[in-house]
Amino acid sequence: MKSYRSRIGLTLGALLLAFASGCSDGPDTTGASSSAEAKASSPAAAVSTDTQTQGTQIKYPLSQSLPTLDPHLSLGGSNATVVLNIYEGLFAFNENYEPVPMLAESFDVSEDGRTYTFKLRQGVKFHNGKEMKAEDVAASLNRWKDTAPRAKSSFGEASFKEDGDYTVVLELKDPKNDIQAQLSHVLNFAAIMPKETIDSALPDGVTEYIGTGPFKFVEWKNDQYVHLAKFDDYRPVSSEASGFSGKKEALVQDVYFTLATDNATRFSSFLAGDFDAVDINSDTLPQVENDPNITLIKDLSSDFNLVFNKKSELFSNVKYRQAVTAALDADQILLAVTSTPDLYRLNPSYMYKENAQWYSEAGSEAYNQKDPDKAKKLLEEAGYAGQTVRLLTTKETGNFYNATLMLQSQLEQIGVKTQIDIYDYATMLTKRGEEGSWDLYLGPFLVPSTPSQLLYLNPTYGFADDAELAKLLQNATSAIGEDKIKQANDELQAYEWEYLAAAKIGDTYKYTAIRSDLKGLTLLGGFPNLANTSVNP
Amino acid sequence: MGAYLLKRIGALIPTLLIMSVIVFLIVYLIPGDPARVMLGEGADEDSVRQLRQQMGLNEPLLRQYVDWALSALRGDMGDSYVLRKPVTQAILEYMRPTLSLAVAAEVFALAIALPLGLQAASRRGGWADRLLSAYSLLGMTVPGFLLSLFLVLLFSVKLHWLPVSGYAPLSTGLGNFLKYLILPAVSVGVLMSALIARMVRASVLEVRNQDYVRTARAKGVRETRILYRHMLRNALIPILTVVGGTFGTLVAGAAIVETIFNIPGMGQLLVSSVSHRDYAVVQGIVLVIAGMYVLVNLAVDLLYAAVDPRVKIRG
Repeated sequence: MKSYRSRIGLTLGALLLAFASGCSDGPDTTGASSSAEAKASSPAAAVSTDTQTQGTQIKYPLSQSLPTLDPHLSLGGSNATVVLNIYEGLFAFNENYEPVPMLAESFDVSEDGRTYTFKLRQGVKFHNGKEMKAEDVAASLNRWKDTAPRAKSSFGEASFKEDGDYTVVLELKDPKNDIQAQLSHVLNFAAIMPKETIDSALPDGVTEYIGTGPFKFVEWKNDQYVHLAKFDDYRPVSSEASGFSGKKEALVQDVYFTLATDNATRFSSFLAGDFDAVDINSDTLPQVENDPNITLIKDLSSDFNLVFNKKSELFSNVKYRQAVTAALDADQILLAVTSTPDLYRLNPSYMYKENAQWYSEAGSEAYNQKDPDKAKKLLEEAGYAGQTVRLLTTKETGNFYNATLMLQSQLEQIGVKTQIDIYDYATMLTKRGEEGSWDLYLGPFLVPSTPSQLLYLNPTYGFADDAELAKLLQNATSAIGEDKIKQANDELQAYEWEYLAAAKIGDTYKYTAIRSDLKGLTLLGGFPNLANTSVNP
Repeated sequence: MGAYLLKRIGALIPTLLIMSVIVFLIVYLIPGDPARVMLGEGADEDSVRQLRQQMGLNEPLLRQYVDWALSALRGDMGDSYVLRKPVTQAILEYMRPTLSLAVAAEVFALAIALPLGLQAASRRGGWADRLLSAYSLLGMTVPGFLLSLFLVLLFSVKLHWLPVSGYAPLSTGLGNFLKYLILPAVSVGVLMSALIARMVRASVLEVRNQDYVRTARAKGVRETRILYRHMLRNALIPILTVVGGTFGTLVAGAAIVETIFNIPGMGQLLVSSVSHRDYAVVQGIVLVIAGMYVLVNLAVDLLYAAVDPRVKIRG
């Protein structure tokens, strides 16, 4: 009996040992790691166990997981938050969304607007020590324009070509006036990487993260944190810092971008001192707004648009699009998104007011009409017979769902039968790509900087298929001279309100709470520029 | 015994096979496309098609399954396209925090449940019994996520005793390891301890009037010894069943607590893999969880024999 029991004991012991071995380590690293803290499996553990670096590190939360750190595939949210601090482009946006040279020393545009010549800054080093040269820029930007959905339609077959070590030339088939803005955009970021990194990239992204920014990549623990460190050989430009442009200097040794997907955890971690900043919503605002140790930064985060499926049974007919637009009450929808009037503004333009070159109020009489009678009349003219309108949404990110509920209520007030289809984000993306799966989609769009960046003007997003729209878009982005650009842009905006690929709802702001000892942090479109940011120990 | 073990482990194969077919079908039939998730907003159809082709997602479903199942039999569950590493390696890494949490929560639960349940059973209607009633009522009715938030607010935000979230492996030191595990372990351990304590009380009450207990008392054996040596031991089988069940549930259902406390475990990996449609990882994790559930049950069965000589294990 004894030996029988001891055998059972041994078996159980082995099982327990297997369990206990679980306590010995955690997920392995992704990418290179050289720091001592990297041995900790938790970002928080890694950060908080190293007391020697207090005051020389920034701990910044990420609210969404990162599928990739490839800047050309940068999809917004967490991805852009991190990569904008590792990489730089030829241009960068200042706080007014104006493109300012960054890795470009200067540029020249031919009179016909077809040839761009970029002179590169000399002596700029990549994080691997190699000097940035024209071959790296050409390789990076050619991959970017072939990969980034936002760039594909603008550049077509044109390619970037090196001309000596420090000059890159772009020859376009048609003239373009917004190349600098496209090269500055924070999403699908036109980052410059070493040619070798581009050559070794896989279809789903680059395999090493080497840029020229003030912080270099150290380690990415998937679903945990990304660790960046100060790049000692960074060569800043001398112009004044603004947005993501101008002089940059890493004032801390380490930056930890830590994933915390749960809102309450993220906020509690900030209160407990585990994060130096956190996004704030109307629920958490009262807890921080009067705290003398916390500073609130308010910045524009997104513009809300109602996108029509131009291939759906109903909304292929512009009358239906006009009917829905006539019924819209933008205040109600934006209030459903933000919960407070402080965090939104009405804006009849598809561009931000701050974007002086492209802001236009042409056609704005169609904006925020709040006219149910007109809407009902238009529905009648269109021959509406009680068909169900499918509203596509997700509860996963942003405030898509709340806004959609408000839209549903406004549609029902004019007698439209509706159905909300709620999916997880991945499914929603797939559904939105299918012509027969949805009718309306209400959601936020990030940092509109030039008309060619407005996704819903392209056939890939809501199936816009209109020769006039394409022509006016081409006119607006190819016009030469300030007056001609303004005129072409006004014509485009007026037609956007007529054709209604999407109906603009308004702009929303976001509060970010930061500890008062964090100095110099700037945000653009909700994305932090951690250069020039210091922490008092 | 060896034959019994082999038989039980062999029984795993059909279970895992059926699970793999179900999971494979569920994962592939739900809408959502990994290529589209990778390319994001505004991706054009050509790029999506091209990436799907490169990721091998355009192959017929049956072929994809057979390829995957044959590789899995060789211990290769494919590669994660997000983590860019073999799924087996990823699961082994993410399993450790989950198992650490499960073990810690179970230890906490037993440390509370055993003395409380025994004390409650030894003096029915006494203070311990009343305390147990209140504790188990609270433990079973307060949702785990709510308890987590209260604990975080009190011990992390107000008192600054413990970190809000995260995980530190044992290699960073026992103190650090425990510091990060205490709050999540308590959050899930409370419910488990309430269940186990009630089971301890009920099981011990069932055996307290047995002849051997009376005999022991008549022989003058101390009450504590009777309780721990005679009554508890004979009441252990239903208790072990509950403990095994709670452990298995914890391993399988750790996603919520791992998300709240930001623990890089299998639950969190499963959630993010579903979001990214990282098919290979989802399949791998579900299979491993199913396998672990069976192994935990096997361990419980072996323990029956260890604690009760009347239970015989034959191959």
